[in-house]
Amino acid sequence: MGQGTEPRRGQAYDGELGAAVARAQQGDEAAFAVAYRFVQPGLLGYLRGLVGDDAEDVASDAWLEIARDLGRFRGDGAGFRGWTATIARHRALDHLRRQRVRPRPSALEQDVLELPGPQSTHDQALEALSTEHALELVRGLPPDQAEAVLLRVVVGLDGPAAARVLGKRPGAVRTAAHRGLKRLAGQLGAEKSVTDEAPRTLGEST
Amino acid sequence: MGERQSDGGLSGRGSRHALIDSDVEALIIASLIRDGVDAEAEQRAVAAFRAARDAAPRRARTRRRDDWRPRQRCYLGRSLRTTLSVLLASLTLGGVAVAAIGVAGSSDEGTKDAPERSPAPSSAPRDPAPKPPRGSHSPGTGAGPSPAHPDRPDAARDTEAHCGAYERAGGRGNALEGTAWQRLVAAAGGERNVTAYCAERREEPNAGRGGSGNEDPAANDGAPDANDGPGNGPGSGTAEGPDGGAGRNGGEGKRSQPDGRPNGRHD
Repeated sequence: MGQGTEPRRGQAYDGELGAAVARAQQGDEAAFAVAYRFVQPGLLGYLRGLVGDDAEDVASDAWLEIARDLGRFRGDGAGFRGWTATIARHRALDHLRRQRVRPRPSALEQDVLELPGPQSTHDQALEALSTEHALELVRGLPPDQAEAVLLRVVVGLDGPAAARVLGKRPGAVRTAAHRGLKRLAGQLGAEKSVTDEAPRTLGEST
Repeated sequence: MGERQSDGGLSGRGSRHALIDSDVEALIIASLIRDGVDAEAEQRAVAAFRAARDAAPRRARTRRRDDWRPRQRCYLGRSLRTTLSVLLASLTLGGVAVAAIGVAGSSDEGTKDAPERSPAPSSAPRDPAPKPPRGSHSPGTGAGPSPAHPDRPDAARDTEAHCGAYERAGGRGNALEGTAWQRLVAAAGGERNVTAYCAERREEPNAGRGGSGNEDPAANDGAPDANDGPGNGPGSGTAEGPDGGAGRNGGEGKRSQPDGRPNGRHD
């Protein structure tokens, strides 16, 4: 799965990403696709943490806006990840707002539980189970902690950028991320069984 | 990190009660990030990009929220502002200094002007009655940036003191401080003449004072010494007249400078 080899997801590519974004802003379609491939996995991961299985739809909406407003963007690769995360977040919050108005069917919650594991060998099945658990735990964190952890770890933003996405002070976001990680560490270490816990999305907790 | 995760990542190790942050981060990344992208979704995004590119000629304005340049936005503005302020401040201070020089230079018209120009009270104790200082060596330090030593004895006193020290030292010049010795030598006109020079001075001290080029015997009462100046005679170039006048003007300017500076602004 290639996980865990990068301390901060995405930062290793920021140089290339920045160059691709600059070319895309000149109208280079292929460069835009390159930027998309750099950014989309982290963005989708962030959105999974926010909206669960609706992440793909929300990401599509976000990319429409990203493509439309690309000419306005100013910044480098890291800045682009922050900018796109902000857009994705707004789309996700819109999505959650709509859901609150129109309660979704409960079947969707079951879907969240049944995120497909990537492989099915024995070790990886265990790992997949654990990662599924991790997803639930992340989404069970207090919203500020969950988002801070997601932006820092999954999108790979640094503290100030994550704070800007969230519209909060860097210190508050740093604290939230730290607490979230500690809490996850405790839970991941202590618990082994997950299946009887109902998942909770950020939308429901906000 | 990958190793740690693979052996500690919840794969059946119930004894483990806490994970370190990097384990947790690896787990989160593993759980939420799928490498590779959905080709269809990518195509949709690229199509949106194409449509936006073709529809809107690039007149999109960058809003504040679109500007993610790494902190340079604030810092650039701030540093520009800071630089300009510093520049302005230095120009202002420089202007004050120049104005003070102007005041010092133009106050040479007569020391009677001094009271109205410099009502600063601090000038009073140090300089109750403007006195023409000696200008034996360098005529003026009026524009000199270095303040004079107010408590330094004048040249004649120096000479006397040096002579005394010289004689006490038994005629050995190196017993004197280097500068003092050299001044003494210069005043005597050569090392060999020092003894005779000092003897002569002892006999008629007043004449000796006159020998230092000063006509005013009443001035050796601790007035600032003019020959400490770095020799910036041009600073007193506004002074008119002969050498004695220049020295006097320079001395005057020098003395009034510290107090005259703020007043120079108001003139």
